[in-house]
Amino acid sequence: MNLLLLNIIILIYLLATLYLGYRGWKSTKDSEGYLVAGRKTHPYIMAMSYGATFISTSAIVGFGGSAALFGMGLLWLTLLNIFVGIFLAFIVYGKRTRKIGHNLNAMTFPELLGKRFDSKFIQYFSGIVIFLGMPLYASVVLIGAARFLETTLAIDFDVALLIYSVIIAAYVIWGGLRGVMYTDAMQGTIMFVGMVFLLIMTYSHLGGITAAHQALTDMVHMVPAKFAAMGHTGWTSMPTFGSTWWWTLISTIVLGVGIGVLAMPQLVVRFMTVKSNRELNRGVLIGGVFILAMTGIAFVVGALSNVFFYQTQNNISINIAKGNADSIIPIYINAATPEWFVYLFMLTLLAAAMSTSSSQFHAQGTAIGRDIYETLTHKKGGESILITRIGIIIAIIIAVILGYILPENIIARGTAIFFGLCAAAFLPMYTSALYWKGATRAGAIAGLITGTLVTVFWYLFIHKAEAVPLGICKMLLGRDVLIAQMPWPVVDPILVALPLAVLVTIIVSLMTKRPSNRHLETCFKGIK
Amino acid sequence: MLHATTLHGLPQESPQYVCRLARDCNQAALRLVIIVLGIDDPWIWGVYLLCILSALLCVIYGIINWNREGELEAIEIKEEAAWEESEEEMQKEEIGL
Repeated sequence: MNLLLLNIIILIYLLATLYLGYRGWKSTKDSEGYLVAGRKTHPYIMAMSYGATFISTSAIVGFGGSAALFGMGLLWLTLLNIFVGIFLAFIVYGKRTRKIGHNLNAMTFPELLGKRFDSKFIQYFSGIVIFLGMPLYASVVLIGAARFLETTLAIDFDVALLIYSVIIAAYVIWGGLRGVMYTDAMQGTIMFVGMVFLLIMTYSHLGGITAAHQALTDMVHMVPAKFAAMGHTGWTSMPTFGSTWWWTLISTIVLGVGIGVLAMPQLVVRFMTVKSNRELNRGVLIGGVFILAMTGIAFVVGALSNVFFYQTQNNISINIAKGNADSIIPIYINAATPEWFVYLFMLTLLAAAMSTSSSQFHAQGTAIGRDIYETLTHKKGGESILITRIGIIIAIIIAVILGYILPENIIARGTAIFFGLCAAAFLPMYTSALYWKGATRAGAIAGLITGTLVTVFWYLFIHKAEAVPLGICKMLLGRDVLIAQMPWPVVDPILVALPLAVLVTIIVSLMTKRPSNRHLETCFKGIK
Repeated sequence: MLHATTLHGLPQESPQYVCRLARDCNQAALRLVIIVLGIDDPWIWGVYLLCILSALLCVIYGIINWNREGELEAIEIKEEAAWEESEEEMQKEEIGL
């Protein structure tokens, strides 16, 4: 390990981040008008910024590790990431979000929903859901980065987490709030280059696409008996339909994250910052390729890491990582790639963590300052800003503390929980806000509460993976889960909470008074 | 070696011949995909290809619509100017600049 070289690389990266942050900020200040400056925003910058915020260490390290466990079935998530997370998100959701957001002068996702349905409750309740739910997601992003540092520098995980947290906290507090898209774009570019190199290296190391995949297919006899009993059929085949393994892959990982992305507060806000639909059209091109290069490569490489470890150590990835899927990608990178690439990949992960963390903490800060405090107290300016800042600091502290206490194998699951919660709570209301003029305030509130409560209830009492470690069901009812019969303990809440929330939103909206035409005209002004 | 006219024992012009030929071609293509990708399960090689195709869809959409919807209406320009101004004020207040 060449520490001097590593430090120089990280220093150059941080200086470049600072320089671009300063340049982006200055160009906005110096322009004649903000609009002109805005129009100059290159779609590459916008799309890479969205992509870099969307894709974090969680996607690369956490879900890459899951791919080593579940196999290439995780590519269904990549398909949803591209088709739902980019194509539908930009075209179907993004364009209307931009227009309605501008019409209502909304600055945050909860504010957009609150103003669209003329409800302060929606704004602060959504703010509460974000502030309470997002720390888990923020924390697993930090864990993902720290796991890599732990393996690469051979240091204790707790120390690695502290180092990463300090770097990211300094970035977020000092410069991240400016929302400078230049830095995100640079980080996205580093991530893209790093991942493409990783794919090329992996395939060439394993003898090419056909040989690598065939070797993975031929490893079916290496599937541990306990995994096979749960439905694992190999790394290049889908799990047995209806098995524990299948439900976890499809309902939690693929659907939870694949659909949840549509209602992620920190991503929705980006649509409101673009100047015209043209940027979104162009962003689709860049975003689609970027996401393929991120999750597509992470999942293929994650699965193929089994071939590498089988050929070199006669074992499979999860055993090499001593049962912790979160460590598989870091161990693989360190074992299979040259030293210079390990450094490049460390930058890739640092970039991925920084670009996502900054918007996560900012979303939590504005949730508590603007959406909760301002809405409840009607006070703007000084105090609200102070609360926002305090909110950001609290969010960072909570994320770091959670990083220390969360168990192993948590990255993918933690991400899926937050994405699933956002989908159930916000998606029905958000979709109807954009497309259904007949949706009412009562309908939106009913859907929001249903989605949130059913999700929380399901995690506490039904979904075994969370209900057992949390122990609330055991404490109150004396058993691990409320319904022990398969498949319920492995069915993710999103499959129940989202349809219920949609149903409740529709039924209550049909039963209650439609919003005034005047309000609807304001909301939908300029939308054909 | 079989001559095209004798393949499946059907006359070359008959619809059954064309259908069988198409089916054979499809099967050959599928076998080729399985061999090239080294993956037997159609749910996996299918999604592997679909990922690439969906990224291509994004590229094609982006190229076709590269310059569309870029013009803002006069009223929108006014709205955006006001919006940008308040956004900037909020940011200034938030980050203390």
